[in-house]
Amino acid sequence: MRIRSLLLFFCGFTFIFYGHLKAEPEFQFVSFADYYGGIEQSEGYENLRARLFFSPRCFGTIDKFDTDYVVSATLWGQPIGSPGFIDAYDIPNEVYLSKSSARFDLSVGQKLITYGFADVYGPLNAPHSSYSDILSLDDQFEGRRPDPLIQLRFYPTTDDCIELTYIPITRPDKERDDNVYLHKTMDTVIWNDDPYLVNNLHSIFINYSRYAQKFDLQLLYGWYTEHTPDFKIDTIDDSIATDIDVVYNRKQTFGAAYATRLGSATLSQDFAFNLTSDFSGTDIGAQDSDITVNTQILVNLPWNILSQHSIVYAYFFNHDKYDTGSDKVAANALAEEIHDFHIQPYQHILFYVGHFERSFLREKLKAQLNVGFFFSPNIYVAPRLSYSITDRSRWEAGIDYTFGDPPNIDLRRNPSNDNFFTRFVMQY
Amino acid sequence: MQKLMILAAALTILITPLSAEKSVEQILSEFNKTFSIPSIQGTFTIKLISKNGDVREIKARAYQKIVSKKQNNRLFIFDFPPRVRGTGLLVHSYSDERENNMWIYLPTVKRVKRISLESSGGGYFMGSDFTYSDLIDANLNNMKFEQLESKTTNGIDNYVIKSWGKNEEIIQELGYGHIISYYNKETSVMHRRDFYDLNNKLLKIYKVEDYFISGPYHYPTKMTMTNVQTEHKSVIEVTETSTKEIPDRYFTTRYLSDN
Repeated sequence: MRIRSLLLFFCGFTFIFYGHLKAEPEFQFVSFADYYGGIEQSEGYENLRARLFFSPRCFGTIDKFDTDYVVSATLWGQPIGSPGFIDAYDIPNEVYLSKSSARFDLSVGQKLITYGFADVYGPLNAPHSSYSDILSLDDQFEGRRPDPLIQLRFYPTTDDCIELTYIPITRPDKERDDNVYLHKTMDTVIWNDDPYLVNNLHSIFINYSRYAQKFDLQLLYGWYTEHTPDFKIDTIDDSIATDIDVVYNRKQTFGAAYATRLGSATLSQDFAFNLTSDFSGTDIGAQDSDITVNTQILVNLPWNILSQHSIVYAYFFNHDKYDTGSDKVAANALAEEIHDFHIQPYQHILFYVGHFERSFLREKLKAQLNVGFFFSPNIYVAPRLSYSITDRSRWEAGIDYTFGDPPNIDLRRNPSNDNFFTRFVMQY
Repeated sequence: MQKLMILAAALTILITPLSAEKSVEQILSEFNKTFSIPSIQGTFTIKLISKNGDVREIKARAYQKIVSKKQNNRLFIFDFPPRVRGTGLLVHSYSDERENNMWIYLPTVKRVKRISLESSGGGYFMGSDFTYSDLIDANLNNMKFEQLESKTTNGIDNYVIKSWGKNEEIIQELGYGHIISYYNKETSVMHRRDFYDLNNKLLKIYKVEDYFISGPYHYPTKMTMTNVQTEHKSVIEVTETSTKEIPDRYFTTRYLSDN
């Protein structure tokens, strides 16, 4: 039924506008086949995934309405790994119309929007849900999922832009399929597999941006439904087994970001104050409010190595103020699980992410290294190689490796641990 | 009468070398006039040729506009290969004390990102033998010049000028120990440049092989850069050239991300 509705939507869209297209629409296509193998020492070798992926994208102008359109979709199947096929709701990717005038841009439809200047862990990049159980943190084909929205941009000058975006309905982060049993408290977390958060409507983002001579600037206010779930914990007692439902609360983000030239480097900083539904920190299952600063430097190193360094600092208000109830042991166990899930294990967290890249053989071979250092024994390294066989095809391979044993947390994501992958990509 | 003839002859002898030999400032100024086409656009093809003859091609739509005596704007929207399709590069370059600005639009992350010229792919434009600074007018205030003896190359009489960064920081930023440029005495066009590395060994040779000529302007439409140390070669060709006025809105981050 879902698939039929989506096909009807696409056919209807094409039928209505096809006759009015100005010129031949432009068509792009990406396809790949990949394989992931698990190499976590404690669990032995395992086949994690084999995926066949197709993503067509079509765009152009509807002459009659002088309006641009974009229609794109994603489709994949997995001979190895679960689920076997992409969820029908994830097949439409960006599908929107946009119309521009001298001072305004209006977009309506399902579209991806991006805020802030940080490329990784950007605290201003609040819109859209994401895939939380990806096997590689830099997976370019499984990033954020677009939402239906209305976006109005006003350009008072050529340098400035004021943007208002309304998202009527959003989606939850794509978490794992199976429910999670918390062995310390005998509770079971029941994931929400609804495609849209129908009980948490209306999100608004207001953004001011300026790209000018000395520096670029963004100011952001967002009032929105958080895509990462909180947990509704009714009973804190390790002798009573209960179901814990996930809930999606509202959040506000007050953000600012700038980017400027610093000698031969580029410096950017994104600042955000995230105000959650539980500023007092008493709800054990909820995210804490925080201040996050992401400092990013892009600089070219000797031997033509392009490098980007991100240092992320976050301070969580009222971090240990959760209500323990009568069972302090159970409360601490639940807090540990949930804090780790929300990446807030301490009141202050600081981590570094580095990206290094160099091309060889006239851009044919690209070598990259991603490093995450969490100021603990957990150092993440992810080397990558990409070789262009032709202008339209390339082979990629990489490893995702974290030193030390995986944390003993039931709710932790990426249960697949250390892995390697190989991928053949075709692009038209 | 005889005295007058002697005086005229003496004046001719005195004046001729003065009018034939130009100062560095005059040569650069006349070259700038030939090059300073107010608005030009075209299809930009870069061929990357490796030592073994393997060729890779990059295509972009290119736009250039002289905004003022001090500012030049350029925009590149890449169309090929598919991996870089939709990537845009906007450059505002200045010939005064202001630092150049460069923004890149990355369609995969939908983000306009400020970058520094030196940080962009090791300073090399899309992996070619041209650096970003080769493609952007150098700030003359940052350079020192010396006029060398004139030379004839391929039957063309040339003024020859040696230039280098006026301090160590600028030399390091440019990546060249010095540069020797050849200016056609007849047309004032700079048609060859030899780049020397930081050890003052010959690194690259730039040659202009074809021009788009419009009135007083000579805009290079086929340029080669040969790295004599790696034996790599890059060829830039500009086709479908037009001098039609380009709207200012093309050189904004709004246009960069919309195209």
